[in-house]
Amino acid sequence: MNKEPRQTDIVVDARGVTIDLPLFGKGLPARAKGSRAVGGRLIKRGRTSMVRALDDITFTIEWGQRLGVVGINGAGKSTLLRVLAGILKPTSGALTVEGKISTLFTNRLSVGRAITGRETIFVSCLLLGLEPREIESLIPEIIDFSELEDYIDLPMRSYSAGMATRLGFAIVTSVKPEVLLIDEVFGAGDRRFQKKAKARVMDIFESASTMVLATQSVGMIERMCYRLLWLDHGQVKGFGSIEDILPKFLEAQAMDGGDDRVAPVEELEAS
Amino acid sequence: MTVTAKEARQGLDDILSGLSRWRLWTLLSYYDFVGTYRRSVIGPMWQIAQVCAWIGGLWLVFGSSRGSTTLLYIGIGVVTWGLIQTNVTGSTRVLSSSSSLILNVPNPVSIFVFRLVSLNLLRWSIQLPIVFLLMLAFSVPLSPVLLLAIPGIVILLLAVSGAALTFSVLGARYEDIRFAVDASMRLLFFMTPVFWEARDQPLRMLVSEWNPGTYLLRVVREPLMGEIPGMLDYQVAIATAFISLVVGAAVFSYARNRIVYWV
Repeated sequence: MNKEPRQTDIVVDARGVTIDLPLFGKGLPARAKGSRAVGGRLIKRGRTSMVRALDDITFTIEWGQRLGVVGINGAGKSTLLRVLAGILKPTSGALTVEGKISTLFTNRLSVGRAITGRETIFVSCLLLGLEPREIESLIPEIIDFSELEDYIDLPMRSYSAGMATRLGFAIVTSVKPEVLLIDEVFGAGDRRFQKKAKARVMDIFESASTMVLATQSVGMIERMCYRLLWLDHGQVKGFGSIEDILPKFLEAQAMDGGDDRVAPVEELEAS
Repeated sequence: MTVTAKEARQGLDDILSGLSRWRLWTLLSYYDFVGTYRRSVIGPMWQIAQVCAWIGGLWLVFGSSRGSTTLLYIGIGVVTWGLIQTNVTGSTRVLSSSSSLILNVPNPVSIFVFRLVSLNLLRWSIQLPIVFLLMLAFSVPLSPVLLLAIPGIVILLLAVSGAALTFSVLGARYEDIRFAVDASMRLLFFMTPVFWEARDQPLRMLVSEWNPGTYLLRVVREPLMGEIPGMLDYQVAIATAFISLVVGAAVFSYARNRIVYWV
């Protein structure tokens, strides 16, 4: 584990953050509320039906904190990360975020299938906000890590899904982040590459000062995080240290007969 | 949902920081451009052939009775109109087709509109040889007047960029807008003197006088035909560009924070 965070510096301060995603063109049946297993609550405001993806979320993250975010499908994990990244603005509530944010939300930046892998690297890095000079110095390392060799100068359409993922993973993980937001990008490539990928993610974890990780993997959380935010249907069900929250979360999962929703620890350790 | 002054300023910031990322959106549009043709043999020539067919067809049916110089008029008109049409219709779909990048990488959203305008400008510029050949064939005199086409194109581009900002937002929010705009642009093509001239016909004069497209076309087409556009042409064209940009910036700023909810 890493050094204890300094309690004074608040990187993220969320107060009552709520996100309502409108559902256009579909009137909801009057009594629709949602699903007990997945998703946020379905609500109506005026004539518009909405998904309340996040419901009155309040929490803070200090500098150097490593926060895990857990919850069932549709609990609001990805939405929360998008809010922290500044991509989604809260419908209501207040949010301040300090520091340079980097996101690992996807390992497929779709910038076109006709261009080559090398071109994809350059334009993707621009998308991630890097300067051309930085990119030039990163390119050899990205190509090397992806192990695509001669394929790098072939168009992306000649890549298999796994090859494209390898390249995407190598690109998005080449940035050195300050505040890192991660939404499960570990399923990269074949088994051998996954091992490499995992080591690389660990490296980034170490170099990032502050991290928020949304995942279904209990092993990842036990190893990487020391606080946990448990979301359930868009609401905070628990927020505190791993020791306090994780057992409660696992217990709730087990009670729902939902063991299959959380990848068993052994499986992740093995790869 | 009300929009506060702070949010509106964030929206404007999005446009300005989007512009400052010109390196990104020009490169994206360049890759879009070469990507379209990379597997074809004669590549962009297909587009030239298509425009030539369109010009030739319109001239044969509507212009040949008025003599061969109308071919020059129609040719420049059709090519110039293409820049308006591709930007306006393309903009209604541009944000939803970029949704994966909008949702996964924090960036100004406006870069995707600029990417579209830049792509359309690239595609348009390879049609310019058609215009040059026509000018050569009809021996348009080589004079400084020709250079007036450049400010004309700038005015036109500003006008369509504003419209693209507006329709990108509307198209992302209302799917019907996409179909409505497609249909309207087709109608506008016939309502604008692209391939016809008013020539004392009352209905045509009325339609063309009240159509800002007429003036946007004129500030580009007149110089290329060796004539200086009138003062009124510039006044209306510049006013159109200005209003279009103000409306575009306002609509985009207003909606900036909602766009992510819609795409």
